[in-house]
Amino acid sequence: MKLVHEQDQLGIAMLRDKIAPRVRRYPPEEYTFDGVWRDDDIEQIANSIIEVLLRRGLDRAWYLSGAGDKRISSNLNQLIFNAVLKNAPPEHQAFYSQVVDHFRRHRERFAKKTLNNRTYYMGLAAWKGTARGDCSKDRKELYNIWYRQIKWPIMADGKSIKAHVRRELFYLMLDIIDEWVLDADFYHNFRVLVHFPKPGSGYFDAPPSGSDDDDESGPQNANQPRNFYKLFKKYFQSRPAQHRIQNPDDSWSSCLEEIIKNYNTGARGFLYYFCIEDQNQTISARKAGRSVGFGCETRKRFINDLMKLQIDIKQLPDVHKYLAALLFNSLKPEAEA
Amino acid sequence: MKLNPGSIVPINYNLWPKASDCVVMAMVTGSEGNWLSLCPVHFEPEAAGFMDYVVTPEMTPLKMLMVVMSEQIQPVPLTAIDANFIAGKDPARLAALALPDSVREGLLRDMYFVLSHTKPQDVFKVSRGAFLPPRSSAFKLSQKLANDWNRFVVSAWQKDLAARGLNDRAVSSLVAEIERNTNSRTALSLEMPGASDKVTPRRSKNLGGLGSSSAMCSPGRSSDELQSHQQPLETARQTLVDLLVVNGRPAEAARLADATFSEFLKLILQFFPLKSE
Repeated sequence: MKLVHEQDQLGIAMLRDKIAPRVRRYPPEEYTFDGVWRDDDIEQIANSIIEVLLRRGLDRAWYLSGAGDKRISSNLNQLIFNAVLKNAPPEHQAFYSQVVDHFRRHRERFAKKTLNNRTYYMGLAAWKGTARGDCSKDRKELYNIWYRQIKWPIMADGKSIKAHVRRELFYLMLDIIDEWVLDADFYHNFRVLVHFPKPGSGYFDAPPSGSDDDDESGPQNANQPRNFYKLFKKYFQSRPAQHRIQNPDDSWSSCLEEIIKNYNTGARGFLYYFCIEDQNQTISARKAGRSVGFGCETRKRFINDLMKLQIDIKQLPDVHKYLAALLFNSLKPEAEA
Repeated sequence: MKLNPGSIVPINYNLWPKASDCVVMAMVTGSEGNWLSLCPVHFEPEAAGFMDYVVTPEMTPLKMLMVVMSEQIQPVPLTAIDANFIAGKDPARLAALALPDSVREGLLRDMYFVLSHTKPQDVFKVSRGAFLPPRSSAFKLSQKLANDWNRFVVSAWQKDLAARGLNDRAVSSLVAEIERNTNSRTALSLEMPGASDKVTPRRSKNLGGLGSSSAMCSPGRSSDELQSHQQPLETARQTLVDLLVVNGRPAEAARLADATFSEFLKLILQFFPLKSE
């Protein structure tokens, strides 16, 4: 890192040499379009990693922090993984966000444990602290047990399984085995049993079309306020690219303030939980102390009001930030009262 | 060496949680002898919350994208900083981290601006993070960073106080008090009046420490809360005051007896030098 930090070409070449074998560790049948790691793919991934590293000054940060080789290596691995996943077929990106990420997100029900820092096992959170064994069945045996004992939904035409159904399936799979299951076997069998579209099959090329607010259809950034972005679907559909604002100005902020002024406390509370905390419609309404029907009406009304704004799609993060501050500041005195 | 407010410094990784892979540095927000106040700086822009100040590479000669977690300012002993850096044994790093006065002052000013301005009209005046959805991985990462930082602060005090030869009772009471004053990272959440009981309530009315950089100086606690909070502090205070009196230092004992918590920590560092010093 010191050499990279000093802009030494040797340092950058050494870093490139470190990246290549780490990229090749990922199974090409999942992470590449044609099932094999080509030198060009690896070169492209290495270039994107080095670009991020230099643009964000991470080489300097890692060197100057004195964080030690182990931490730097672990952070580099994370950067490599992000780049590899970004370059993976959309079907694998979808699998990652719908299955792998989803499993991890529900720590109150599911758990993972490692053996020697390399082997990962998956289980139920309730097993933590109990003497559960590690499953010794092979992948095929596990497949047969799960195939026989669980009623599997099929992802026909790549249509995603609802998030709550997916969670129940995870739970059943582990509950039936009643032992820690190797993560690779778990994911492989889940993929096969629900007929998850194979990487490169083209099912997830189209943008997601789901309207269920507890679902994730296709790859997307899990950190984005999804509910807020979905509110603008109608807005951008009704404005074809050639008619979009060419020189958007900042007048959207005052327009947004005017819109919000006409919403009462309950409606603003609902919008806060729905758009900012990204809760689903039902929870947002309840947290705002209103009925689910009220939440539904408010969402529809807000979608229509948003049509008054003159914005470009690139401004959405700014609009979200402004709306967040607007709602937060307007609700704070009432929440504290 | 003198650590000026606004400087970015390497932390002592021997005190950082072993299991954590996070890479952080710290921004000095105040210094007085062996006492410092620091806030964590990390390099994960996606985990930058609304109350975090984002420093882009072009804003400083450091040319790094940094996220300053301004709500997490905490007082620490000098030993929380990388010992080689403090001793001036790493001239390359020292030179790389040296910042002109105007840049340091600018960083500090903007960091406090982020902390004290939350109105919509102010959100674009200084670069800051976004509202992170509480269930997002970015929010969880920022929570993890804050928790690691808190453990680091507690560990720094624990080691430092023990190295000053204070007795176990005083150290454990003080550490308990410091631990109680660390800020856990919470979403900027609101609890609306009339919210349904079916919704699991979020942690009380914690507004993410808006307007107060540290719980150590946050006003408005109830008297019961204050009383229960003061117990470990008072135990430590009494133990150390007695020790100073026994050692024939009544003037110092009197100062310690009247000090506020933050002042109390500074005085301990002053009155009880490290055993190796």
